[in-house]
Amino acid sequence: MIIEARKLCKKYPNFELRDVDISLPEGYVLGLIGPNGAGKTTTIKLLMDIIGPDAGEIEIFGMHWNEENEETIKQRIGYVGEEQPFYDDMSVKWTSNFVKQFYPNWDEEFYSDLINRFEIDEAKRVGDLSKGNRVRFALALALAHRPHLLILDEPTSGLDPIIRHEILKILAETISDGRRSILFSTHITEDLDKIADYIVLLNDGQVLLSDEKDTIASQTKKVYMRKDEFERLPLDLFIAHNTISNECVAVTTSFDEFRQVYENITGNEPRAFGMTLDEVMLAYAKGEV
Amino acid sequence: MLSLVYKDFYQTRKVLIFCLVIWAVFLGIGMINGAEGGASLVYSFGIIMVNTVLTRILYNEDRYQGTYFMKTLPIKSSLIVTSKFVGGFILVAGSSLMTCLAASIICRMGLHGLTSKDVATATLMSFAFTLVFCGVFLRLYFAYGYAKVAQYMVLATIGIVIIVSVIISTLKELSTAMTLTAIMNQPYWIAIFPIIGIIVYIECWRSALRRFK
Repeated sequence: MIIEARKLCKKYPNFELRDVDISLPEGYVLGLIGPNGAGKTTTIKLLMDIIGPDAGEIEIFGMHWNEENEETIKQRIGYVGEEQPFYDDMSVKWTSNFVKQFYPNWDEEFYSDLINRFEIDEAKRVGDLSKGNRVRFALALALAHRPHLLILDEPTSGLDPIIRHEILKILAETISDGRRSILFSTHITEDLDKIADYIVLLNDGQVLLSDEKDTIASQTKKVYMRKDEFERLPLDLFIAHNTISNECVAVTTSFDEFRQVYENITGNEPRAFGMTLDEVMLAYAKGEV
Repeated sequence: MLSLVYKDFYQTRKVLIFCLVIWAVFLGIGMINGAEGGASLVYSFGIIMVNTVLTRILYNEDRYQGTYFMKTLPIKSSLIVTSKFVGGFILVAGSSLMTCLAASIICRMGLHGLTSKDVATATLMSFAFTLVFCGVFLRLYFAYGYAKVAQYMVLATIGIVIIVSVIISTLKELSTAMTLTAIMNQPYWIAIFPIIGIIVYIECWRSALRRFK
């Protein structure tokens, strides 16, 4: 496992992260989703050792965070944060020169390629970069040392679809050798539809769902039925439902089981439809269909 | 480590140049003004420089989330703290050297009744005070952040400038007294101030390390 986090807890006066488990195998992309304030950034800061947990264990590349391993682990991680903390009054060139001295594996040629591809003017002050270019620059810095793990905290938030597409394309290229892993936190779930293998859904500091994306797609369905049919089914098959006159629409997270029970009771094939990650998130977090 | 220290000084290069100008102005006043206070002004330079530069360094870190940025890079947490204390020490040593240089020039010119011993004692005292000030500033910064600490340290700077001035005036008045001269003739007396300063500074550094982790 590249990331193995168990029972992570972190308490703040107005927020608490409780018993968060996250596992990410080598060569896969894990999407961390959830509404704003769900605990995504806190989880990522814990995984990056930017803040320490109150309880729980974290292993990255099989190593625990401690004074001895800190440098070694971070040399193998590329990080792009939500706010891209840079010294805004310094130039792009100065910033890259400052960053690269901490990475023995820094690939200057690859970095220059990325900067040219992104059309970033290295003489510019970082503070003068547009939001899109700031993210591109952060991504170039994060990728230039060829990290084994890329941790991205809402990097596409507030960006236009063209830049988001470009970033997703680069991420797809990054993992194409099958040896690199990505942890991608976002609330723009359509980005994850394209690249994620695993999904972890956080809400109010707790993990509501953690599974392979394909399993979620095959087992989480929106099903339509008559009200009387719905009333004959066990309620624990559903995480959300809505009844309008005689029609009922519900969300099940164990579609195979639902189908069996439904067919036994009604003798009919269920009318089922796939759901987007947005709809899944809404059903889990708010209980709404 | 040195790259982190260099980063801080590079980012504050304009403030450092400004401090050189202040130094020249203080020296000028010390050389021209025959009145009392000329020497005090020169001895106050250290604390003013350290406060100005340190405030700017920590302001940069606070404004641009520098500590957060560095924590995303492969830099040991202890190094982030230690680099600030090393930078602080260099700053204090540099400002003390400049203070000593200015005081020596004034002493050579025979102004303000300064003797070489006065220069050495006051410089080392200024070094010790400034070092303690710098250590406490950094310790509080790592505990409470820039915003809370900066306002208190401005008040502390003013307080220390007044204390240093009073001590120097007192020393000057007593320098003719046999007792004090005898004490000050002992080499350990001159060394005791910087030793205390260094001990306090190291303790602040160790405490900041524990707190930061």
